[in-house]
Amino acid sequence: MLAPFPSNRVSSGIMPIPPLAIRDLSVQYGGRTALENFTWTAPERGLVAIVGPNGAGKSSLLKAVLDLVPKAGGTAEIFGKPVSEQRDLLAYVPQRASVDWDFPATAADVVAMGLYRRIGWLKPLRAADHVSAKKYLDMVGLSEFADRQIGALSGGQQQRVFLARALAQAAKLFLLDEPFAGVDAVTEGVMTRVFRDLRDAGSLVIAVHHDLSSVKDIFDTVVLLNREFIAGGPVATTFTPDNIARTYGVPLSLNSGQ
Amino acid sequence: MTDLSPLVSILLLQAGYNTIVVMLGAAALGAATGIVGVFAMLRRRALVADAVAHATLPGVALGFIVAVTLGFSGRSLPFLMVGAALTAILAALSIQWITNRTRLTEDTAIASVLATFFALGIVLLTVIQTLKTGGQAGLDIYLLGATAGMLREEAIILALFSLVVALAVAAIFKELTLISFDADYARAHGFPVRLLDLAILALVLAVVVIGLRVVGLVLIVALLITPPAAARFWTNHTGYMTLISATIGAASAYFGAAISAVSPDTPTGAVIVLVAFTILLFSVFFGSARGIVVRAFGARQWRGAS
Repeated sequence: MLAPFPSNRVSSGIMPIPPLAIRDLSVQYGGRTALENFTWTAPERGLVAIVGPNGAGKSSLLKAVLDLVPKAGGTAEIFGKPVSEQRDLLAYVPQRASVDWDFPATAADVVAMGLYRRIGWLKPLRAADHVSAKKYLDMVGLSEFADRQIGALSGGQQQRVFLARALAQAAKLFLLDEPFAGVDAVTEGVMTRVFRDLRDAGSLVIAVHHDLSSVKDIFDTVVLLNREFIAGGPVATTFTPDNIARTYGVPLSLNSGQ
Repeated sequence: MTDLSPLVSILLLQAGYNTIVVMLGAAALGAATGIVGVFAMLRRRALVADAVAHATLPGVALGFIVAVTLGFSGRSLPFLMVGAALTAILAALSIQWITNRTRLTEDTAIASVLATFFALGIVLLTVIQTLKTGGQAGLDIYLLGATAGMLREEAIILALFSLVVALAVAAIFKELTLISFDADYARAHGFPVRLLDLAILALVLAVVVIGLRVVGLVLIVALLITPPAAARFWTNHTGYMTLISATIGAASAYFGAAISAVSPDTPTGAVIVLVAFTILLFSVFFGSARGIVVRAFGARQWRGAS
């Protein structure tokens, strides 16, 4: 698996530092293996879909990369360094269902959370930060909902609030867990547009994705996994019926089931 | 027929200097518990807070025994508070250990730790009854609280402690809000979630120990949770919620201490909790952000205005 690095070096003269390089990553929950020996190096920029059946370890992959769950083995490097040293370069969008939307906060309050890291400890939000939060809300088409309690937003709007909060991190690498789950057509359109803007600005967007039918429309790169790496590369050449069958197919799940 | 005029004159700060200081000390404590309570509630630590509060009882008893053994008065507050803090910390660690190292769930751990520590405290209190050192009769005020006979110095210490707690929350307000809403996001972006959780627990512990004298260990959790619960009905914003919760906590403790001043036999903690609950009940119906009445009529206008 070391092959990509020397060949890159030969072709470009210098070795590019990939935004995300995962080597032999394994994740276990109480003895059950969620992910095993996963190895993959991300492209420098683009829109990556992580695709696989339920329980394939897609969320676990993101969480292990971010040190939210312990790694049973392997490494994950962000721009060549451990994640703990690169928190300023990444933005994470957790699953929408992972928080309590009844929380006493407005849409603008939640987006402002994306600024906390840069504001720093012991400092309150200032007027400029509120203006900044509104700007990111505007980028996802929600400026008129800034003062709305987050529980009074639709599911798609909540997902866009999460995206705006991630944009506020001003990151180079975006990791999103099921951003398209249960969203409306407007939200899907807004998010696709924002993703493309991020890619054009040189960022890498990696999203766990469950809807096979929209992979080709939204993403340019795909990673197929089912507890282990199945295939990864450009959508046109990698997202093939054969690879999809290998990811979802019955014989494979019999092999890797236990 | 009870004559209410003494209560009115006390509420208007026309009582003696000592009573006024005690009432203001209690109000400061109520504000501090209201502030800390916001995060105890939002981070779902209410039951842990209750267990930790009950677990101060054996500490109070041990503090009494140590003080008497060393020749001090058994009711000297520093000994009792240090003892209370120590067994409360032990209880918090026990809950953590049981939850992490066994397959028991957190609520099971909380319930068993609460009961065990409280039982140990009751047994120790019984032992103290047999010591014949004098002063032991006063220990039961730490169960339900009392402001009767409270010294001015004690009240001032309470107020200063409460101020420190409020300042501590203000200093890390953003971060506490963040981990209460979305701990995974906070962790992913490098915030020390464990440390901040520990800070919440430490603040809870601090107000519990400070509040022992006034509210008592059985009911302190109510002064921690009822004010934020009531405040939630008036606002959709964590910052305002904290200010409103502090106000409700302060008002509850102030009224409770005043009523205690009129009727010294009534446990202060019980009165404070009933006042707080009355405010909660009112808020549930008439709260401007999500009260039942507002939701029923014109929810749209209110939402637009908030």
